Amino acid sequence: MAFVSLVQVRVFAVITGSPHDFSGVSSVHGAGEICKVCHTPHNGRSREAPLWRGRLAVYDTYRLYSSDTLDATVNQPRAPSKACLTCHDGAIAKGPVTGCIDCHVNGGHGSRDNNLSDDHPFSFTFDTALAQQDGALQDPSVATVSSLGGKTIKEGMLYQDRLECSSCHDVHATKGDSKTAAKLLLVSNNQGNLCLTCHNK
Amino acid sequence: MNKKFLMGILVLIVAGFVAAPAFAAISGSAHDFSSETWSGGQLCVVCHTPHNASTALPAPLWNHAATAASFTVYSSPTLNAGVLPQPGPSSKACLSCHDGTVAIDSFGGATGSEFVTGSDLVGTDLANDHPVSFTYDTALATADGGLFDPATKTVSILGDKSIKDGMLIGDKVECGSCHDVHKTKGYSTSSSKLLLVSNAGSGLCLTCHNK
Repeated sequence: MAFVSLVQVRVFAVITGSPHDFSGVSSVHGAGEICKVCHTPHNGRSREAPLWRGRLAVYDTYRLYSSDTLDATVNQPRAPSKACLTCHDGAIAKGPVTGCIDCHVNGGHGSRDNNLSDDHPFSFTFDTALAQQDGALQDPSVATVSSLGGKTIKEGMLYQDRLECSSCHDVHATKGDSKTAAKLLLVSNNQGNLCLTCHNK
Repeated sequence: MNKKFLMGILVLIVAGFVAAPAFAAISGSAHDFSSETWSGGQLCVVCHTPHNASTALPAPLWNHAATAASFTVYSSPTLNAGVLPQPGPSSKACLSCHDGTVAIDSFGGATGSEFVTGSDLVGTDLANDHPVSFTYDTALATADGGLFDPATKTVSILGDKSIKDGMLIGDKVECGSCHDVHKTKGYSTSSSKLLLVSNAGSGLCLTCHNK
């Protein structure tokens, strides 16, 4: 019975009505469709993100986070995070087919910003070795996350062992607490729970 | 009005309903080439023949030249369906025009010269198209975590058939899982892309993708 009720809850897709549902914004932002702003069933333009409709982030290089206490090697944004940055770096706004830099930057909207130096680092490998080296991080292969059905950090949050935007935020508002939590957080950050999922403080 | 008269009216009404489907939905559809001179005014013959069918494809009574292309298949780090095979017979039937290597009017042993162009052209590079010819079953849905169980999820416009019964072909996602070539099933009767389910609000995508 428990299984049946779970299935029924999921009949309504959770991206519908989420912050990433632009179907009602205007005709150029998906024309009443939801997935279309990011994805296309045919003739995708980038192989770095699944069936990606427009272009990925425009910058070749971003100013990366650095810190004297950082043990990780932070790389330039990798594919899954570049998909997020496509809109969230402010250089390209949401939009179909051509990518909206044409309207939103050249048209005077938005501001180009490749500064990630004041943001939590991402696109770095978070593994047992890093946890040991740092001394204040959970071992991602061992520590489990209850809101993700008891999956480990590695299984439930990392992408190919890397921390990416999607390690904290679920763009589709589908996994873990993201269905209801602010900022599409995989783990609700009440009492710092999301931070403390990885940071052993 | 007497009973006989009323019954007569009723019979006429029912007959009207019955008569309506006599016009098949493929007539006048994107796949109706009967107005082309090379079709000889026929409709089904471009793909099918009642006799002496081609064995080039195990598609029903096949009459069209089959593509011999080698396709680049879709892949992705987040794809749980494994390494995709070359397109299966059902999708190859579609690709035997839509890959652009075989002319639409190459059928019945003849070699034609009219090729699919524009947005209808899929090409032989399928790496930028939604994957096809992979098994979509309960196990895949469980492994992926972002897909509905095709055996239990029902589709209202397909008469509440399950995804498995209404959309999959031999348990696989094929071109025909989204598009109805004959413009007969579900929403396809009013869809320019012959979509089985309307994609308003991304309804077609969200039929399978649990997002």
